[in-house]
Amino acid sequence: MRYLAVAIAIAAGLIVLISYFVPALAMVQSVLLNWAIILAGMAALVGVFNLISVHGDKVRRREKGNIYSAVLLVSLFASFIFGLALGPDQPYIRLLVNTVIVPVETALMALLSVTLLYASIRLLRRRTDVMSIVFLLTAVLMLAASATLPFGEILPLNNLIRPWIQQVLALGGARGILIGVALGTLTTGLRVLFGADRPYGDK
Amino acid sequence: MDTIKCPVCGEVNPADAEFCRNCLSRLEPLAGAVKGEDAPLQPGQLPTKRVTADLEPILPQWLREARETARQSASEEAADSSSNANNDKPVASSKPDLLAGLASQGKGEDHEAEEIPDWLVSLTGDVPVQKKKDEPYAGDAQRARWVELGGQEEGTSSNTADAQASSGTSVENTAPAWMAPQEPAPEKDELADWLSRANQFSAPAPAPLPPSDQPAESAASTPSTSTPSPASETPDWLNNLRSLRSSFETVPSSSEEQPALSQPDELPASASPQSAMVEPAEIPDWLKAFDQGSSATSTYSSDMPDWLKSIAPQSEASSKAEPPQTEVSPAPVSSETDELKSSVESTKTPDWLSSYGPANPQTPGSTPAFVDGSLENVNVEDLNASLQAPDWLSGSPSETTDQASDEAKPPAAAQTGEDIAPAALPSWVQAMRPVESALPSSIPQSSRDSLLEAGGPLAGLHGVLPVGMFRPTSKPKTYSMKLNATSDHQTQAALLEQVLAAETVPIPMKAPSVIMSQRVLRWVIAVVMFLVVGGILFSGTEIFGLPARIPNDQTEMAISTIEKIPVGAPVLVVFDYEPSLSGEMQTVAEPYLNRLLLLKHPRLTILSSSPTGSALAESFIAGPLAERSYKSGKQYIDLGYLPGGLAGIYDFARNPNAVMPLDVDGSPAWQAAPVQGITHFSDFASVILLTDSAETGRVWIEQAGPMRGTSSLVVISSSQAGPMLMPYFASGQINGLVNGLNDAAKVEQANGQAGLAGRYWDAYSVGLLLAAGLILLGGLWNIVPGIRTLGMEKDGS
Repeated sequence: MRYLAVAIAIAAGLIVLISYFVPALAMVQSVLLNWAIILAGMAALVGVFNLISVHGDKVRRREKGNIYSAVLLVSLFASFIFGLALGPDQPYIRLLVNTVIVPVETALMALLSVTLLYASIRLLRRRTDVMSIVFLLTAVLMLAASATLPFGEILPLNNLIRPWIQQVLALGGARGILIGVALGTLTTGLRVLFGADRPYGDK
Repeated sequence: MDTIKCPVCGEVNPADAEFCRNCLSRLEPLAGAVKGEDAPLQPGQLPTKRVTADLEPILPQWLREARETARQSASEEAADSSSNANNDKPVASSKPDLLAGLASQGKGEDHEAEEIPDWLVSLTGDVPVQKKKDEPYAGDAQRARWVELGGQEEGTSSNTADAQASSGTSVENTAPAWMAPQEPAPEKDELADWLSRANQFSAPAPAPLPPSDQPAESAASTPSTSTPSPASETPDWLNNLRSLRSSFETVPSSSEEQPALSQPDELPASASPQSAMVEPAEIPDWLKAFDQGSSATSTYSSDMPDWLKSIAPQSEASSKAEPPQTEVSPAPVSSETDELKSSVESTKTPDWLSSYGPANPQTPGSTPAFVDGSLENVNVEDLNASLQAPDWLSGSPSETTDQASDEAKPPAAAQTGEDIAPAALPSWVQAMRPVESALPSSIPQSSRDSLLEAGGPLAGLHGVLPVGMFRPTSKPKTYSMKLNATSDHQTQAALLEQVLAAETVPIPMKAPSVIMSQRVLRWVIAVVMFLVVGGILFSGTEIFGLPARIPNDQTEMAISTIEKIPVGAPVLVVFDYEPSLSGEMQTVAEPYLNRLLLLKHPRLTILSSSPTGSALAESFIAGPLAERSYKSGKQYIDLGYLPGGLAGIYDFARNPNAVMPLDVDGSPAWQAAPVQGITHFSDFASVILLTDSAETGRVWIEQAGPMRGTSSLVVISSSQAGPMLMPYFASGQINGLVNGLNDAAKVEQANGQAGLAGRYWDAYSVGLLLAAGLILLGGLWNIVPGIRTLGMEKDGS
């Protein structure tokens, strides 16, 4: 059974890969990708069921913080039922999204902005080295260069420093990261195809 | 005036007298301490050697007369012997006999004059020197032995010179007694001399003396010798005693007041009868009883205890038992013994015997012969003193008896005739002397006397040995407790102590004050940011200038892309951002989409790879794009959520109709007006990607880019995702990029109307400057302690 799973995984990967070069295998590739999309959708549904099970157990056992679990379950079933019944384009669903989901997550981002600011201030106390100083100087320059003054732009920052940082330093770093990600993805794909890595459950 | 009665002779003495003026016996109990100079020698103290010859001039008259008489008696001995037979007080004959053995130990005179006794010959095996029969009774050599016993020192010193002069041989007075058996005994033994004479007396078996008067003579007649005595049957000591008696009678009473003068210094407390003889005032009681009590005591009979039976023959004729073993057949001895016994039975017991008698009269059969009654009462200290004293002075009544019993066995010193100097005791003898401190004083006298010896030669005796006397006196060896540690050891020990002390020193912990400052600082930052940014935002000011447009940058390229989209063309808009960044994304995308909708009126197909994307798209259309009045199913269609991530995007790009056949309402999507004529991904005139994640943008660019054909791809991203997508713009994989509020402000400037970006720009700019200022100031504030900490860490390392 273990070898069967490995064979199926490797065969699916090879078919999808070969289909990029062999158009005759496009239909097989499309079937396999549709299976993957369905499985991913079902995985999301399984995740929702798992979430209901975990928090349902907490409410049933009256564990500490079970009230939050109860609120979660109530919200989940309400959203699912209303969303499934009404659809996302209904005004009530939009109201739910705009008044609950968006403000909550936006508040988290606001807290994150304060936390990042505080961490930047305390960075040199925690770790005093050259890279920390360079990091802070770069952040200060980009923040200042992204803003403008009431009387206009900060000329050296907005017109010279910020474009140079974005187009040279940031672009170069991003390219390096993307190339590294591409190589890593290729290596991981090959390892999965050769059976070295078996993320589908086998060791 | 208080008086005290002598317990021995009954003489009345003054109360302060220590010794009886008659018999010189101690008036106090013998066990008590002796006063004055008579105190016993202490352990370790050597007796002072005295030359008693110096005392010759101060001798009492009676003693000098006795000595003179002794000298003269040699020539008159024959006549005196016959007169002594009729003497009423012959008891004294036993006393000198007892003392004779003592005198023989220290005397060195008459070495050659005395012959080696037969019994000694039998032991040593040497050929005895034939005694000159005429010499023992001629001149100075015929002095009374018992008188000489009282001045052993004198005799030792003077007689040694005499002996040297007469024999020409030197006798070592200082030689220890234990060396004596190694040499033949050339000197004359007085006891042996007496024995020889006693044998002479007994040989002719003279007529028996009256029993009451001649107990000693009868005893002296017991041993038999082959040599006849020239002085008939009376020994010289008996003659001397008789002369002594006569001298006693002439002693003035005034001599009682001079005991110290007449008594040598080294006389022990238990002054012996010999010492009493040298002092007229201290005539021992036994000697006095010799005169008075002899007639009163008649217990010397058949009921006499064994010990007394054994004492009497030994004291009177100590060699009586020995010589017969070698020279006399048993039969005559027994006959003579019976004769002696008969004579003894008829003789009254003298006082000195009576003083011995009560020792243990109730157990006559089991008591050893040498047990002395007075010995039981003798204090151990007295014994010590007698051991330390010269031999001639140690002849106390008790010791005399002991010595007499010992002389029954010929001592080595007596055999050799050597002197033992009193002051030259060997060290081992000194070490063997009992220590007074070892004697428990708390032991009562009764318990001492009541102890019965269970074994050994003293078996059956009571109180012979003092209780607790023989405790082990050796103390446990003491070991030094001082450590033998060198300086190195001490140094290492000190180092170890320091290490151990350092282990116990607590390490101070840092105070947690930093936590308080962090919380305060965090609150300060939050409050400042909220107040400043919120105040400016809600004030609605637009005093800050918008960023200037830069030609041919990613924003201008995105704006130009709109120009290339045909009017009413299908446009795919992908909403792939999270609700948390919906505020930024809507602000950034709103000017660009307004420009597109306003200018091109495209048919929109909405798709999202995020579960919340569809709702956010509906909110965006109903919100910022509300002015464009786009309706679902007419101007746009929402395909909803595209699952599968990268695979779903790729598959959607390859075959959108097959992957997403239904819209968000469940209706067939591809039959709706907005998506009419679209069968492939490349059928969309433009693909506009709204994303806040570089990863999502990368997937769409990489997976759907190859299938989009000639259609344009514009990415509207948040500020955090823009730098990562810039390479795709630079490489041409995307046609334009609107990155953040800054680019949105440029689009608004291109649109020519104010939008959300312009409204938020003042607050946005102030917030950025405030954040930059706080980071700068905070960094400078914290860099000082940071550098200090860094320096401390370097110093520590």
